[in-house]
Amino acid sequence: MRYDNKQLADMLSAEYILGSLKGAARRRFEQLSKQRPDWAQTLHWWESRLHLLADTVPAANPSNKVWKNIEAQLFNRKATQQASWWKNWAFISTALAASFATLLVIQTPQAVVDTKPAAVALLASEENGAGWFLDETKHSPTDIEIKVIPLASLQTKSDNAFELWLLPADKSKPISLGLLPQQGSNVFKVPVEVIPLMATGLLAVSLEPVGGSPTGQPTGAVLYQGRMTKT
Amino acid sequence: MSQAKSSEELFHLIALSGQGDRVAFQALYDATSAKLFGLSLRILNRRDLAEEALQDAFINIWHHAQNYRPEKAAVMTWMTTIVRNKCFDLLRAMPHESQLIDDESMDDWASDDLGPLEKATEQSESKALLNCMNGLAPLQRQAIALSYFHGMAHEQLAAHLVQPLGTVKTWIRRGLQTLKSCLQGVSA
Repeated sequence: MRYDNKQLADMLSAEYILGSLKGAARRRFEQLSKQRPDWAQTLHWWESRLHLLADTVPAANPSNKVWKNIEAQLFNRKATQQASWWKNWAFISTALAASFATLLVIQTPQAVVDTKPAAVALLASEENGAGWFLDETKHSPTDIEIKVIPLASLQTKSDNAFELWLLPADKSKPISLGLLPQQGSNVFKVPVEVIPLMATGLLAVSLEPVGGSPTGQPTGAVLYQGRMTKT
Repeated sequence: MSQAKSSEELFHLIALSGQGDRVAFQALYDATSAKLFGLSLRILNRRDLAEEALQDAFINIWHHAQNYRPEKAAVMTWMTTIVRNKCFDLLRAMPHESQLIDDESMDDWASDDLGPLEKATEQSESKALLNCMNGLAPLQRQAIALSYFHGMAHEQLAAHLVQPLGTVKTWIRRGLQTLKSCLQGVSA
């Protein structure tokens, strides 16, 4: 009834794209627009138009180092790179606030780099068997990546997402580490502030709506567990 | 930078990038980075932050290029969404006192003369949008622009524009409705 109101769908879609729709209303809208094709269509209509606002901004040339840094990060070309203080802030906010926390998915470095495997984990449960294998690589004490490999025994779910959580040993709130791939491997970068908690914390995988937990905390059943073990 | 490329050309470049073609990816960067950097500069209002956002966004674009679906969004819309989200991530992570808004550029939207905005606009679809924005009351226009470029909620808008919350909500809703009728007229 209320949700059939065309004008409501219009206003919510437009405000969703504008960014003025926030919090619980935003998440509810996201869910609804996934379930209802007519809403999805309205959203698409506004999306393709309101983003044209970006075209009214004068173009400006970024400095050459931006492309050099991109190349260095993606293709292992040399470049000077400095993580600035606010970048850590960005990571903290992503990891903790994390309503749709998907950590930056980084492709497996193709070149051979001087790194050593640090720890591994198997995410499994008696009920569901083995789901993923995690392989941690330590580039430096503050630069740790985890390669996530879904196993053939994983029972995939197309209507849900699997979200990986770190349950800190001190029983503080779970920290989202991102969504797990159901096929093809991914590499996650471990946020700096989470690194010290990795060795002692427990890993858990919860079943979440597509896109991840809407609340920033696990909402579905915990299907798999594991722990990082030093190799 | 380089001449604006057509959506077909951009689609071609992103499809190749999705297959791991680095040359195509660089061409995509060359074709779009200036416009997207303009956007991140407008949102973050600081060159260093805007460059970081652009860099992070393009890394994301490379990794997700294979997931790009043309039926869902135009290439530029898709990339704009990624850049804007990166900018908002940074904005949220910044201490409040350092969040600066370039009021001058936002005043352009409340002005009767949209000339400066028109001058920057490249695509014909965007010109049509701007034309429709021109039909709104200046303050409606500004509220919509502030919301888009700064991700402001109604409450923040009300505080920024020193207006009652209800007034701001009405401006936005009426503004969007007028915009919709105007845009439907254009595409019909």
